[in-house]
Amino acid sequence: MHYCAICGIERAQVIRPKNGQKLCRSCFIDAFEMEIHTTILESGIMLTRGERIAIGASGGKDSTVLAAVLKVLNERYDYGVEFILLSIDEGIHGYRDDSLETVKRNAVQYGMELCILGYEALYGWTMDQVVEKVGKKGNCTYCGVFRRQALDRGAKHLNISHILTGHNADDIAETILMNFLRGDLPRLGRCAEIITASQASTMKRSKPLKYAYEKEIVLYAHYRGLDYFSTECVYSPEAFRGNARALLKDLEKIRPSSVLDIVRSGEHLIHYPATTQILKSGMPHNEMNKDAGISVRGNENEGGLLKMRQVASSQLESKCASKTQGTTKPQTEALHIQSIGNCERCGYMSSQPICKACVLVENLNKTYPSIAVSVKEY
Amino acid sequence: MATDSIAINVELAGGLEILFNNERKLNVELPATTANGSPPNINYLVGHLCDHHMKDSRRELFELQGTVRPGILVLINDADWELEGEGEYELKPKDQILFVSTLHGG
Amino acid sequence: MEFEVTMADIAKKPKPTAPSLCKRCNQNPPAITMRHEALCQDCFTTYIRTKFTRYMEPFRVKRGTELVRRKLMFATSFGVASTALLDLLHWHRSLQLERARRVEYDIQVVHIDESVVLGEQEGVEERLEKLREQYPQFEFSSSPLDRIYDLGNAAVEQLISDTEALNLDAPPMASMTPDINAPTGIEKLRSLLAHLNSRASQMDIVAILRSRLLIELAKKNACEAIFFADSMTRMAAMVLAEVTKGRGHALPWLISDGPTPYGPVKIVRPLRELTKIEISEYTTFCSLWPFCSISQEKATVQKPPVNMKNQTIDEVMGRFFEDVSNAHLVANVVKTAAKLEFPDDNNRVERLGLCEICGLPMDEEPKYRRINAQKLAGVEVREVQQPQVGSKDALDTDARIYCLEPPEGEEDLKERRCYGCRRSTLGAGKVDWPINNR
Repeated sequence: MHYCAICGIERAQVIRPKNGQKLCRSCFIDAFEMEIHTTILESGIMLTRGERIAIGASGGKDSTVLAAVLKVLNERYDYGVEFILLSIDEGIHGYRDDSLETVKRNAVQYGMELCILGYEALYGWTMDQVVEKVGKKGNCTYCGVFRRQALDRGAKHLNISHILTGHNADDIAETILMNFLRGDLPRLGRCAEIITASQASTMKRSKPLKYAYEKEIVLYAHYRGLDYFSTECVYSPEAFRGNARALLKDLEKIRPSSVLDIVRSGEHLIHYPATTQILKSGMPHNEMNKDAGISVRGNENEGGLLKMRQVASSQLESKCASKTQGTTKPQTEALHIQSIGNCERCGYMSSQPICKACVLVENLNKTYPSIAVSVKEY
Repeated sequence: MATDSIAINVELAGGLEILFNNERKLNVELPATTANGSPPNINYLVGHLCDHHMKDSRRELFELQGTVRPGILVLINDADWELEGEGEYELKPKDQILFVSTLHGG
Repeated sequence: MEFEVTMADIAKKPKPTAPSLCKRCNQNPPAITMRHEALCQDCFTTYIRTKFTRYMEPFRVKRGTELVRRKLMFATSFGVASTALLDLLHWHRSLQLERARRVEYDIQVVHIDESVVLGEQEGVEERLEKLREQYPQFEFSSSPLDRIYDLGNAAVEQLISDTEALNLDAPPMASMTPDINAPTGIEKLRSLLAHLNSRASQMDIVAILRSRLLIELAKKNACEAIFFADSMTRMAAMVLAEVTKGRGHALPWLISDGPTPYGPVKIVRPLRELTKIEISEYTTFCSLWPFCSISQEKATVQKPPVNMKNQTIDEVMGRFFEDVSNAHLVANVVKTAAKLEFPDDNNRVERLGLCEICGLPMDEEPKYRRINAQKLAGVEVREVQQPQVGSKDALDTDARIYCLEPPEGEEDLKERRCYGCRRSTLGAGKVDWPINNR
């Protein structure tokens, strides 16, 4: 039998994937809650006293644990914040019916206000109707795009400007791997961000469970006897995500800290628009970095490797001429700057003249099958 | 005969119950010694559950390479199985074994 | 460029093609379908050599210039890609001699003997002998991994004598005379590895030691560049493996060609545009399999993992990309990694320096990276709420969120060792590291 590494009295029941520490049930619950409190304090999530904040609630393990922990922390550390559960009803028969019942129970258990918003009211289509129209393949795209906007729209409706979601460390690590595998550079540059906000919208989204392992979320729910709903979405799970997920589970088996280590790597890949502007205004590159070969990173399209080669060979050839070489380094900022505006139809923030949800709805409203869209927002 | 079998309690959660005809709790009797002469362990239990209790053809959603599929958490008497020797843990009478999937739903 | 075949040359050739003939020359029957194109053996070989030759541009013949033979190093593992690259270098150099009557470079081929880690390696000498016979114009040698301890020390001594020569304050030396009882390099290496917590960590540290030893050897032998036989497939695995080990902050240095942050020797990876399958086909067409440490049969069959828990991260990633069903993802990963921009790099290296283990630039806590990025851009930053002094909160984020506590008495470790190297040396206590960044 192992004793708890913190209290030294109780039987250890949990082995923490982050560091292999063996803890008893109550020390684990304390440590788990403390880490989320730390995350909230240090990541700039900034809960302001008196603020009303929405929790995106699906009735699943992540959002249920999020709501339960936030209730505890709000009382223990006196955040002075009012939380509201915000649920989206996609209109999937048999899936949401039961999970919404769970959310309703959660609202009572945690003493939080609940708001349920339907796809039908927002877009004129339930997911069941979407699937009837486009088939089971690719419907996750619709669901994902619709859901993302639905939360924002719902919050706006409630006059709330901050949404907390239940994305956990595994979700984020998986998304980082997936964006590499898909070659999606812009998303790679932002998927590890803990807070996402845009200039065109006052809506802020944060992920307080960003550093929490899926495994620990399940254990926390189990040890606290939380009431959550779990079933697979009846429509096909996204195959590609499954691929990255299986890889992640293999890695976790070898080195349990891997999930967190990938998140850490991803945080260093976050592309801060602020720093982009420095480059634009021509901040000088110092000598050391020129020599370190930083300019080797290439350019858009097929240019990537090609540029890499050109720069690499020019470096090899001109031993000392790097002063001039360095300043002609390929500039790729334009790639990252997406001007965010508003959708011409619905006014929701969009990088295109018409937002993705409106495009999808338009497609649904037409008689022919939809164009293939393979985007999932995170 | 009582000495020839071990009775344990198995619980399924996190969506796994779907594979077992929505039954959350199972009373399982295992032979005190298995075909290879050793007492039954968790890996044996996993195979046993697939063979005798699972009501779904998708065995791979529960078992992979002779053990529990990665992403399914196992608690032995309410403690993480990693503290107890994982699949090699030898079952004792009245053990409480919980299988909970982490993979389903957010 | 005067004699090399370019893609443009190849592109000129095709006329309307009969389906049964090579897509490029339209003369020979196709021998291989590569990237949706059926090619004959000659055209495929040309394709491989063209891709390779692009990276040899800096080493081409410059007519009318004074001949200075450049010294290059090539690191071989005796694997398939190593064997193919050696043959390509041989081809390239022979072509220079044939067409220009002069060669621009000499190559020292080095094999790092890791038997101290992996157990006795069979036939290293035989293999080297075989290669010497096949490629008499190259110089071959092997060096044991623990040699890094000698070279590292020599480098420190050099540094000290340099400092003395400059008449600066020389750091006090414990003893200048060798201690007979001092542990040997092998003992130190074994002890270092024995203190690491998993095979994944051990192999990560071994890989770092290997590249650092190679760089030191190149430096010692006055080689200006060192060639690695990393294929595109291998690079993709490397990218995701390093991301998984928490070295995302150093990705550009890990995968780009050019000098390392800790020294002027340049790294060249001329096979980076070729997939593992293409290189393997080239090996077949050029009858190079007898020189490989692995047989053709073994190389093409996928091995199932023996013991999942004892795998390394690199092995898992390697298998993921070698799996044919994932082969199409290789280019995505490599291209994406190549496009990454780290605008705050310069500032970061200046502020934080290099990691004492891997020699690559240090990382910093994500919180500070964000704040610094904003400060750099002149954005007003709301200060992070300060934790209460004396509370559990007073520890840093690395300890509290990443649970990466510094070892007793080394609270400043995070200022010297990057996140990835702290993970791989977690619980190892004081590390006797053989080599410094200079």
